[in-house]
Amino acid sequence: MDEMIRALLSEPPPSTGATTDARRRLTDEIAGSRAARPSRTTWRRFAGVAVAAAVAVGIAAGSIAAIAPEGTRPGPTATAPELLLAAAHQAAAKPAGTGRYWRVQIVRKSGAGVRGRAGGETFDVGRRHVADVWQPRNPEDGTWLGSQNLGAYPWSATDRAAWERAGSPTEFETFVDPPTGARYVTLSTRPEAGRLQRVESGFRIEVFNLYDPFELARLPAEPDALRAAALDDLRRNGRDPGDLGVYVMMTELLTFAPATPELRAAAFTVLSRVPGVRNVGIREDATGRQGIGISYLADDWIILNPRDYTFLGFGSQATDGTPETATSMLKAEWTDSEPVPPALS
Amino acid sequence: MKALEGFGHQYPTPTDRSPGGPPHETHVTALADTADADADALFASHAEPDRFAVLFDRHHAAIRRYAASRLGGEPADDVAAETFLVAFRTRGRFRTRAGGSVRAWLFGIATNLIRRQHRDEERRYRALAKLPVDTPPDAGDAAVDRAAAALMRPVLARALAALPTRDRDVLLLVAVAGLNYAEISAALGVPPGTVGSRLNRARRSVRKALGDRGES
Repeated sequence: MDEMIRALLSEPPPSTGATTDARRRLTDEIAGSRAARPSRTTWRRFAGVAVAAAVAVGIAAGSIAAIAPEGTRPGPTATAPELLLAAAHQAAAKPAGTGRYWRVQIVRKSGAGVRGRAGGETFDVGRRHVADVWQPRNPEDGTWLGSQNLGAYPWSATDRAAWERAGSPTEFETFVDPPTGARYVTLSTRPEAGRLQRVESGFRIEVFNLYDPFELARLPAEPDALRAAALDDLRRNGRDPGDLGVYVMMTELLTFAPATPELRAAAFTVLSRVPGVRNVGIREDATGRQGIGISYLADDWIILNPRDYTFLGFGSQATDGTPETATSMLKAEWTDSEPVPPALS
Repeated sequence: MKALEGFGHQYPTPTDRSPGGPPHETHVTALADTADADADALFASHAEPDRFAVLFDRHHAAIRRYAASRLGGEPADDVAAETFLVAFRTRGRFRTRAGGSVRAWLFGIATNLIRRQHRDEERRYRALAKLPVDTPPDAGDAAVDRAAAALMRPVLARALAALPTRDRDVLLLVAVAGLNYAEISAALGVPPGTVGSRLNRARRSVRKALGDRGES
């Protein structure tokens, strides 16, 4: 009987595309859960908000360019458009980079609800990792990935106090799933040695599963054309062509793409014209550097260096109360040096 | 082209993804029980969400096959994809819900999603019941067997359609998905004894339908 049932109900296997799409939906969901960047799901969630914001603020958008003339140095309480335009002027003045590799080195901290315990105390645990990506100008040089575990640490001041009461242990047990508590992992506060590996040919870096940094770097370096190209790209890829998509694409570009000074300036300018971008005050990046937070999404922000308006990093906090994640940009530059393993402490 | 996903996070490298690979993120020093690699991946995904993707790689084909059997190809693509999204979102509840088998838990989620699309399922059995029967041009023994089996197809489709959903769930989890009683019990959240009685009832109904048709 079972054989007959199987024969009756059998269907051809899914298309490769369907399987790829399904896996992509999952990896988007995973990326979204860490809320480091808005996933497609988040996009959908915010689409309505974005439209409403665009209608409400759209009238003012055309006149913003006049607010921050070249050379002004808006302070930490300036409006987001003022700050972003100042960033655009600064970016345009930077020399273009040269070198064999486009290197992006970041540190990410995450909490993810891990709790540690030692000496009768329990405390929330954060962890920090370095990612170091070397992408070649000439493909023959190969793409190299560096990584380093910087170790675990007590998450907040309260957690630190508990950890210190436990004798500041360099190793402690964590339990991830408190209801069952059956399985434990030991975490160390000590950084590990960095690692470096060459990536097999054909591997491609996809920034947060959304964009290829080299593709982003080829976008037009003029604000109106850049925005139009961004909207085109969103349409082509089946995403909502709107301010939210533009915001995400510009922040990805500024963060990861080997863009020319002109393109970076254009991206900052486009961002400055996105209705609803706002200054959310001082934010800290994953290495403790403070900067000015600029946000379009409720739970996601970028951080600008208050002195030269360069990117310090970005952060996010999901609305479900999970701990904030934050990423620091340590390097985003062209370099002639040979790839080496990251060695942070 | 393969893509390295999640750049900007503690991105997984091919080495990091293999369960037996060098521990990069953590030192796993004590595992209280000897759960399988699935449970390890699920557990690790609490701290390193990327690890969850390996469950997709291991189980998506089987889940999709099961969903396609009940709903047809296109709705099955959606249900199979949605199964892993639901699983990821609810992974914190895994242990209590499925007694330790990630596979059973995934089939349980898929079954729930399939129930929501019962109209697709009914439509599918109706369509299968109407499929024209190919009569083979030659008359060898194998061809006769095939023809006989083909004649029974509409009967079987109608019999499956007539089953109460709960009984059909159990029968198809056995026949199509290949789950055992314990796994079905975990997947559906019903006692193993209930699984057994539902399965017996389903088999009796189907056998009766096939037998009646055979005798007439």
